[in-house]
Amino acid sequence: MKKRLNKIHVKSDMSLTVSAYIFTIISVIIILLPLVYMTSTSLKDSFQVMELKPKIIPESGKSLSIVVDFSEFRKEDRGSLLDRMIKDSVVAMYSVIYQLNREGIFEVKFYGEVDDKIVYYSRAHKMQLESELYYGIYKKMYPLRKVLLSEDRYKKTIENIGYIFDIKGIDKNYDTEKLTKNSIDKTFGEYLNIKKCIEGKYLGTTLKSNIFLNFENFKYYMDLPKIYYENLEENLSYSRVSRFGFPVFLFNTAVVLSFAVIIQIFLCSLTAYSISRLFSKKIGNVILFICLGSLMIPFVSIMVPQFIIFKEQLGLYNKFGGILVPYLYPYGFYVYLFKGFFDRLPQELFDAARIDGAPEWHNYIRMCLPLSKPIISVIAINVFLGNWNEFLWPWLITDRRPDLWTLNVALYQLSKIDTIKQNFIMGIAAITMIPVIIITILLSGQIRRSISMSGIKG
Amino acid sequence: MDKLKYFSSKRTMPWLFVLPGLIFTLFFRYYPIIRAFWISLFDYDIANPPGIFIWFKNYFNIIKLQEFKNAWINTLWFLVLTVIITFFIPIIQAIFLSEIKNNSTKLFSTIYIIPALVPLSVNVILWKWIWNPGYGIANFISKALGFGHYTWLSDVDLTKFCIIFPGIIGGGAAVLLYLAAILAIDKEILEAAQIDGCTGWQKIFYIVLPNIKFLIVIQFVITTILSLQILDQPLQFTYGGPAGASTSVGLLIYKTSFDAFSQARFGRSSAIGMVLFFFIAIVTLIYLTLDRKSS
Repeated sequence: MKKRLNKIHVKSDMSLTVSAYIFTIISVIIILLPLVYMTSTSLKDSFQVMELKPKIIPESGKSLSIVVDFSEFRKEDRGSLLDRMIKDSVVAMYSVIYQLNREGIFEVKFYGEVDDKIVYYSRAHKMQLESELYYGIYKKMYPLRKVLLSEDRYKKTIENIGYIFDIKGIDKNYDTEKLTKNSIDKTFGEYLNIKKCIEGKYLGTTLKSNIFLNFENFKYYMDLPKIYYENLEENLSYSRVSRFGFPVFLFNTAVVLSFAVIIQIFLCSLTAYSISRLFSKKIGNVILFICLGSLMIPFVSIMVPQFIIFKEQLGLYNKFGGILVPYLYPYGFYVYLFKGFFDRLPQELFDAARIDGAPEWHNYIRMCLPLSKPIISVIAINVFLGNWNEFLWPWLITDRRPDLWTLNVALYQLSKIDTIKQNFIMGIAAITMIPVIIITILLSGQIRRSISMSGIKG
Repeated sequence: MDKLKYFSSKRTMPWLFVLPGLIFTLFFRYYPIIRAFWISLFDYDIANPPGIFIWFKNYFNIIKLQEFKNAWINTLWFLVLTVIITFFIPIIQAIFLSEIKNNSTKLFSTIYIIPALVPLSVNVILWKWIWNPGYGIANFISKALGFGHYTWLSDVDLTKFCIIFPGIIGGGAAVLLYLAAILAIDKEILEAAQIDGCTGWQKIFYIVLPNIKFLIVIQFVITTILSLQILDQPLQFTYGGPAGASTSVGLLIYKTSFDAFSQARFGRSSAIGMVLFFFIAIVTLIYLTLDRKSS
């Protein structure tokens, strides 16, 4: 009988273990899938993103090299020749974006030749050009020659793109073998000639695939806030954003979270220490009750008065202080956790110090805090996790100041702008996952221990 | 002479320690809620605060408002959907994870933390694109399975589901909490059970689950209280949804106060806020009394 029971046990236990593995592996894949999808979408360009049959692995980006001959202008002085080449390169590059949108061309290189010698070279990434076209210098304009060259805009954009020019010849080469031997060469050439886009003589193009071009998308996703806010007509305060782009938001979030962690640890432990060690049990419990009772008050119910207080009385509307000051409130649950920990510290330690005549501050700073390292790391991680998703209050209080936005606020505001394409938004979202993944890998052990400690104690 | 001694350093020291925390608690939580109540008694005028004193008229008005009733129905729906879709998954994940007894546990629990670290806005951006009727994969999969084309977030009947559904991937701090509780179960009980002939599946239902019941209850109460206040997700996904179908009570408070269209009716929104506060307070007190009774 026992043997039979054992067999059943083993079978049943095995079915449990197998199910455990299957379920866990499926769970983990489901968690990772959205991240993969986000990354894959951000590696695409705005046309591929709209495809009806979504592809998980995007196509390799293509690099298009355009070669134009300027020999007919060889007699001109250098400045005017350079200007001609710049104008043509700008027109050619933007025409690629406009005309060849569906070809998956991620990079455009322009070679200017005089007498079979390459004297001019410029190179732009598709996302860079698209940024300028959608919300940058050429916002809401068609990339036709006369538009692109109007008001010297081409000079600004070539400054951003960069070029190399030397009448004696430069060290850049294109694949002469492959010239004109690709599918789009003819149509593109016709477009340039018919539309009289360029003044030089169109020689041809070469086409090459390069997967790294897709990854370069991210560089321009980071610049998006820079370009967008630089070219905005409204007078929003955006100076830091136009200078540094997206990292401003990461910086703001880092400052807010650091402040939150430090101030919460300081204030909660201070309050908990007094409840635990300095007051009589009766008064201590009253204070603890006040602190814990505040947890019942939903933020939604006090959001209006708090807004009025901050705007009218404290004058912190649209100021960084407006985001930071609310963290002065010691979160009741942390006070409770600290108190629980302090209660367990041996009374003799403190009594001994008191008898020696040490002031209470000494007890707190020199003895209590160093012993509290475990609970402090628990609280620190809890504060971080709890406030990482904070959205409503920072959004309310910094409406008109993009350079004060934290991560969540910035992502939401950017996603609401219709001129910003989906791959850009997904790209920016994907970028924010990088610090997340780094933090996860570095601190996973700490996080796991802290969560379990706070859970069991609570 | 005696008065000086009364205020000696020994007496006042504790108060010096606790004063900042206490003052900030009062200033950032208790003072605002009292002020919210005060505002709710006015037809609040932001140009000339506080406006006209109208006693409890705000409360009588909101009870008659259709949007108020809808917001409560929506909020309760959000609560139900949250519990059905997202509450049980972490428990199951933790139980199965506890059955994997080798080094891969560390890797799996590290991946389980990821949902807690994904910023809220990133999640919304991702899922708004998935639910996109034209280009998102939700319709791609739905058509492939033969279910047809839906407008998801713009569909009055589906929008609440679409907002809560992302939580189905589980993970997060909850899994780790449950896991810690499961691993803390007394080894002796497990051994005794095994000797008595208890199989793996039976162990889960008769031993593990009852022993983590306390945590499940706590998590349930926290989930309930948080769901009642839900605001960020409906706001970011649909800003209240097609014709108010995803407007929760929290979002209604926001819209009544700050939406340019509603002309800053702080009095009314404070009244709604007070009603929500009382509701949550009652739920909390019910839980506390039940908890006291059971222990």
